[in-house]
Amino acid sequence: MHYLYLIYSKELEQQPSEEEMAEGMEAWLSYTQWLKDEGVYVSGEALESISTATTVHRDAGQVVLTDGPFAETKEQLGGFYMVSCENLDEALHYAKPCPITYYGRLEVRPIMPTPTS
Amino acid sequence: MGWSQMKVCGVLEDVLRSERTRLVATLVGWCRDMTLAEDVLQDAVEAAMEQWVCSPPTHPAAWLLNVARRRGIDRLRRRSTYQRKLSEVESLSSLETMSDVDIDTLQDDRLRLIFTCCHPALAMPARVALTLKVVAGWSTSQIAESLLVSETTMAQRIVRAKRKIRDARIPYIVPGADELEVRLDGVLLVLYLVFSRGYDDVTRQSEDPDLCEQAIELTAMLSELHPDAPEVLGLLALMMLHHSRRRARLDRDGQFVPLSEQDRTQWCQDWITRGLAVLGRALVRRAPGPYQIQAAISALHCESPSSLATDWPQIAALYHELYKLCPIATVALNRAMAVCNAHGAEVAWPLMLALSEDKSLLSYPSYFAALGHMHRELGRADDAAVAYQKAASLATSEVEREHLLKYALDKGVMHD
Repeated sequence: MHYLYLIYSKELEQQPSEEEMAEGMEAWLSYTQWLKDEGVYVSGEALESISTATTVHRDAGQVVLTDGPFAETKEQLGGFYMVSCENLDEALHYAKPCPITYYGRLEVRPIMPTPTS
Repeated sequence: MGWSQMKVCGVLEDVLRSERTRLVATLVGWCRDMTLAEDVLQDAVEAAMEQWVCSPPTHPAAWLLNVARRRGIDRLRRRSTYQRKLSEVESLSSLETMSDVDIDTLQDDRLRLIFTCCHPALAMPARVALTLKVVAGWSTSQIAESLLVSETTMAQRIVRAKRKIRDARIPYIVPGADELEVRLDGVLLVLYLVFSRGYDDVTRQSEDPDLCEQAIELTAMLSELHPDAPEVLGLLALMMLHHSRRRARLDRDGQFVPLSEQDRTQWCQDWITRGLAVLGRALVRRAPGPYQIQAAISALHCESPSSLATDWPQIAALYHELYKLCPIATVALNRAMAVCNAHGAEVAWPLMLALSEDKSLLSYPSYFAALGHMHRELGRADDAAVAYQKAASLATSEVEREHLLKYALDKGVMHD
């Protein structure tokens, strides 16, 4: 069973120092490595800032593009991991040490299994 | 020879009373879906009503379980293939590979059921509702009425929780050693909340299902299934001892009566005896915890022949221990009151004063009632009246409010 970790945080108001950046990066790299070592990692990516987002929908059948994210909320999706776990307890076990839990939120969502033929 | 309809009903009632939770627990393990498990057990009960008249079963519980299993297969096969979720395909194959079972050799799955219904990934109201529905077997309307929410809301809450368990794959297990203690605390909290809801509901009619006795029954079951945890026994004792005083909490006009003014002959000796015995079993383990300490406090009240004879120094000492384990405002408030009763308001006042910083108590009527009490003891009648009035304005039930208002008037006048 696959679970998606959706990683949410507030966009930073001021640029962190180089030292803070390095520390943060180190934490993420070692967390990712741990998921791999444990054999649960499927994939994972970080997203560019919400200022780069473009939203696509339709209005009366016509495609409309909007500059910006789908919802203007304080906390924005900043990245994700996909993990392969037996059950929710296992998925939560691997989510708990994620660096984001110290300054943002992590949402665990099960991937809907594809119907069998 | 067949059975009469009455005999069938009698046997069914007995077997469901003693075995329902076990049957549901086993079926949830097989079906991997709580709704399906409940539905197929209901199917089996209906089949029993029809068939036991002509062909009585040798083992009623085993009969129900095996018929339920076959009904599960029927129900799942009837769903067209493309509508079937992967989880249902798995349930079907798990039901199909099973053969009829012997109930005596069957593993008891009730602990798994309890831990799953009280899983921390479910919101607390969902845990309470599921525990009552699936573990205790209450109907949705009974739960809705007891917890004062609409039946629609309750039905949605239960359906959503069951769906989350199935679709997010909350595992059907007793947690491993590394998590067991924390998860057990979570289960105890759910049972405690069920009990408290019942205890605080003074409007309950005698024919309504009783949350308090249900909570006691579930905690007793948990203590049998998981006998090594003194805190389970502590909670059980606490519930029994509190429950013993239930009748005395309201007077004949339905007015709230505080502990100090209760008619102690109204306290149920049977519950007290049982509670003290359970507490004894917990305390010999020498692993004190918050529920055991609260039960010990309750026991001291129960054993005291009158309010005046209450062993307040001992109670104050126990609250002190409790505060070390649970440093929260309400415990600190009770400690201050116990110290006041044991050693006088002058000694207790600094403890009370320290609480004035705590914003969480500002909506808590007992805080202002305690404040009123201490002001009065210290001879500050006007302050006492103000505090009692504030307490009355915050009271959640009419009976409590009237009681506090009476205090506000009485005590104000007394010192004028």
